[in-house]
Amino acid sequence: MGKEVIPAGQSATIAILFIIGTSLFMGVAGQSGNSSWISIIIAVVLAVPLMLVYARLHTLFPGKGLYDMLLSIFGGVFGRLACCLYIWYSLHLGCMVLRNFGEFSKTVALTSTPMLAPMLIIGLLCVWVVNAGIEVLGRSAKFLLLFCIAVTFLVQILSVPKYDYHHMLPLLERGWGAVWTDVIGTFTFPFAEIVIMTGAFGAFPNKGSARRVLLSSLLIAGVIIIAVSLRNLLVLGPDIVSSLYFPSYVAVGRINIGDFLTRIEGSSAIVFVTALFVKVSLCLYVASCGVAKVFKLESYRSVVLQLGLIMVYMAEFIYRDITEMQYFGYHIYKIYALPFQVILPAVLWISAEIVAARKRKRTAAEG
Amino acid sequence: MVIYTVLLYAVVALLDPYGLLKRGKKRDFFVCAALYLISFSLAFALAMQWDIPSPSPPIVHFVKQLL
Repeated sequence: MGKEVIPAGQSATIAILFIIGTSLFMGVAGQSGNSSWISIIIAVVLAVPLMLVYARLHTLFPGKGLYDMLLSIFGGVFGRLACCLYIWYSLHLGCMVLRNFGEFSKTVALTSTPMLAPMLIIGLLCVWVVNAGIEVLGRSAKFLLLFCIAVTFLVQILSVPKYDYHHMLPLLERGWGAVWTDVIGTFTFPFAEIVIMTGAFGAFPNKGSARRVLLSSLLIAGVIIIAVSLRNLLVLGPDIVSSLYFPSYVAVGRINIGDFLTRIEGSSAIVFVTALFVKVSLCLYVASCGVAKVFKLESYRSVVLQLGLIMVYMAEFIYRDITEMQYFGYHIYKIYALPFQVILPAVLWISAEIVAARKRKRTAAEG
Repeated sequence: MVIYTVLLYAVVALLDPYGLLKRGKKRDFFVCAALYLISFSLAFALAMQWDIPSPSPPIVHFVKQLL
């Protein structure tokens, strides 16, 4: 089978849907109350250097994915160990996203249906698309992003009559401390989660594309998340937003246009399902590629079904309840995810720069 | 539920790991079979409604220790 290549545009759409995936419905860390939008802006700015590091890795290792980079820099043993860490992280992230969807359907949509059923359906859909290849995921994402943006924009416009601008004041009510706490939370979830995308760098077309893809997707996803967070804040107010598990769902439920267009939150939930489908699929793809690299398999497709099923089952028992999910997502995850998102890529980048500099010196000496 | 799980997994075994063996992908077959066993064990435990230890508490404990 030939090498898979996804054009830059499609990679960007995957990245955008990956970033906005859960945040659209779960919201972002909200300790800073009505100043949460400031923390999102700061988190986007802080994520820019990280994106440049990821893009630089792509330039240093053109045509190679994260696992190839780890193996070529850290060697067989340590490289495989690092690969296993990333396999775990992508599998775990996929589980967490699936569980968010499971809790969402259990809490608001399909209250009498066992949580496993909707998670299994989405999980099998992800297995299908990953088996079909990352190119299929790219093409699906391109269409789905347009749909997501259209729905989000429409809902945004329809929410305007419900805006109460008093919710914005007083600015920085809880101080800069709460804002910085939120910055770390928002930085790790969702912006720096894009580290998973480095696992698919092997399918990127050329040297310069990663920087363009990552920066543009960060910017677009950042704008969407800020717009949605502001809408939730203006419609519901900071206290209600921080007390809800799915603030967007409630905010959209408040839309009432002339007693005619009401209760459209169910329709807007499609956006959530669409975005999480892309996010889980990418996590599954990266985990499968990792297993294939570590065990030197002929194709990552050999393990997609089993890894997908494990992901779905793990999502079922990963948390006891929605409270534990919320606690893990907003308090523990920001510390747990940092080594995968910042520390390991930074070590990899510095090591790769040293290796590249030595190679350049050797070539110059020979020349 | 348990019977359905076992029957479903019998079909999955024929399609997935055995299919790889038939195509001569030995290494892929072994890895897939190992993952199949893990996946089947989890599905069986869930069907039996056994308590499966979650990975979250150790992570929470570790992060709390770290801070």
